[in-house]
Amino acid sequence: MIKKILFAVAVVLSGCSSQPAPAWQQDGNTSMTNFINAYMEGNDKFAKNYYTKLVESLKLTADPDVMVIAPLTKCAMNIALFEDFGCSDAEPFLPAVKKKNNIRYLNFVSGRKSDLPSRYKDLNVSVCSTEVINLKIKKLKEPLSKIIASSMVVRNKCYDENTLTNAVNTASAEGWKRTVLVYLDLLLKFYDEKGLTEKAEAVARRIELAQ
Amino acid sequence: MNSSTGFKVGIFLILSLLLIIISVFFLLVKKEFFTDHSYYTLSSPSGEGITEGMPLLFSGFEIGKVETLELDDAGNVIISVKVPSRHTLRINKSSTFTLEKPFIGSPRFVVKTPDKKALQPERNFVFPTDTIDDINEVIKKLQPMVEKVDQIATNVNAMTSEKSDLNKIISNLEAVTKDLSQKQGVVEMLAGDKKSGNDFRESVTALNGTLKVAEKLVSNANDTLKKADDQLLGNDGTIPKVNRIIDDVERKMKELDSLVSSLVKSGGSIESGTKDLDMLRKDIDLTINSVNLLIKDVRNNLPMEQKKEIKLP
Repeated sequence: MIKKILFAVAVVLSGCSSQPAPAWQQDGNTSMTNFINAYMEGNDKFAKNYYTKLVESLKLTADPDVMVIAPLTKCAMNIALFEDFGCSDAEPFLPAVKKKNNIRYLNFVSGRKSDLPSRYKDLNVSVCSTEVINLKIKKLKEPLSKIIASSMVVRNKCYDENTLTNAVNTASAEGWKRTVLVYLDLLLKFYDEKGLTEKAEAVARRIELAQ
Repeated sequence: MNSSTGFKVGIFLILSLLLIIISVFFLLVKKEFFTDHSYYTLSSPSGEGITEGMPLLFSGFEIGKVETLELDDAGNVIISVKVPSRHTLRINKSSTFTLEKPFIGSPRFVVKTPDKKALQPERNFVFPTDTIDDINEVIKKLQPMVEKVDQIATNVNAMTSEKSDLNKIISNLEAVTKDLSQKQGVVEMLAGDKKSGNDFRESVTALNGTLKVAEKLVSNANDTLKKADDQLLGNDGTIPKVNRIIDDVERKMKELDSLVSSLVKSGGSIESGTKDLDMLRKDIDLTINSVNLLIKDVRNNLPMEQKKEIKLP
């Protein structure tokens, strides 16, 4: 028993053995989280300020591969909210970017369908199976990744009721009001098209209450 | 032809004749024609290897020769040996005659006389002979060796036969080496199947990895404890710094208090009030800076905050 406790203590302490994060990284992480939450909530004023802080924090590294993260994230959120493809803010970094993952991400937010990031590559299927797609989206860890993936499959017309419901639930759990409303609108259209009046009415009521 | 020439020719012929006679005489003397000889009779069960003219040696010197060979009624070979009279002293009744047949060289009779004072043999005395046959001796000596070689060959044959133990061992060894070559180690051979061997190896590898991880964890824990100790309690540690900053803040608050009191007291004097306000502003700035430094120090010194990469969603 004592040995097990000592081992557990050792494991916990070993987790604390690494160096503290540099200030830019700590500030960057905070700004990134705040920016994502504010933007997805629909608080554009705050989102703009947090974005500026995020850009400043990342600029401290003078590393194009780090600096490009801010515009790429912003563009990814635009896509998640069904805005047009393209990422003009990230384009200037392209010649200096070295990491393949960043290049793939730029392909992704620019609407290209080849050489995508690994987590979204599997969603671009030729034969649509909504069950498989929903399961793949569910396996993604980050809530924003789930929303981005959902938008991607909706654009590809490979989705069902569960896809949209899951996206609504994910956004709702994070308190992302703007996102919830976007996907509730989609769900409403889906029910209307399918002729599911009761469900459509319930969704419409929910939208009304939220606004 | 006159008388003198005839005389000279006569002298020459007589001298030539004398020379021839003397030469023949010397030749006969050298051939011991005029020497007296004694004859000794030897008896041998076999005449094999004995020839007429065969030498008789005494102490390595030739003192006589085999003269004749005859068979008697009993079938023995009677050998007559001719010895010059001057050597007869060396032969008496104690003498032994041996026929030696050396491995290399021609056969010969060797006479030995152990008792030099023994009587001379009578005329019809027959000496028995011995035979030393080197070839036979060698063969006799070689025979046991040959027998041993034969035994060894038999044993080797027995050892290398199909049903021999050695053959069985080699067969088993072959099976074992084949087994070893097909399987990846003794463990697999002992376990009997490949899976068990692989499982065992994987277990050992995993255990090794676990031990390394545990070792690293313990090492990290030691480092962390040391760092935590330094960071929290060292001279430049978090707690002393916090204490210093709190003292500083307290001191400044006191100053601020006294400044506020002074401000109240000197409410009427705008000039001194402006000065006090200026000082107050400076002190507030200092305090804010101190608090910012405190926050920065706490952030940098607390070990719980770790590096976290900023990732794309």
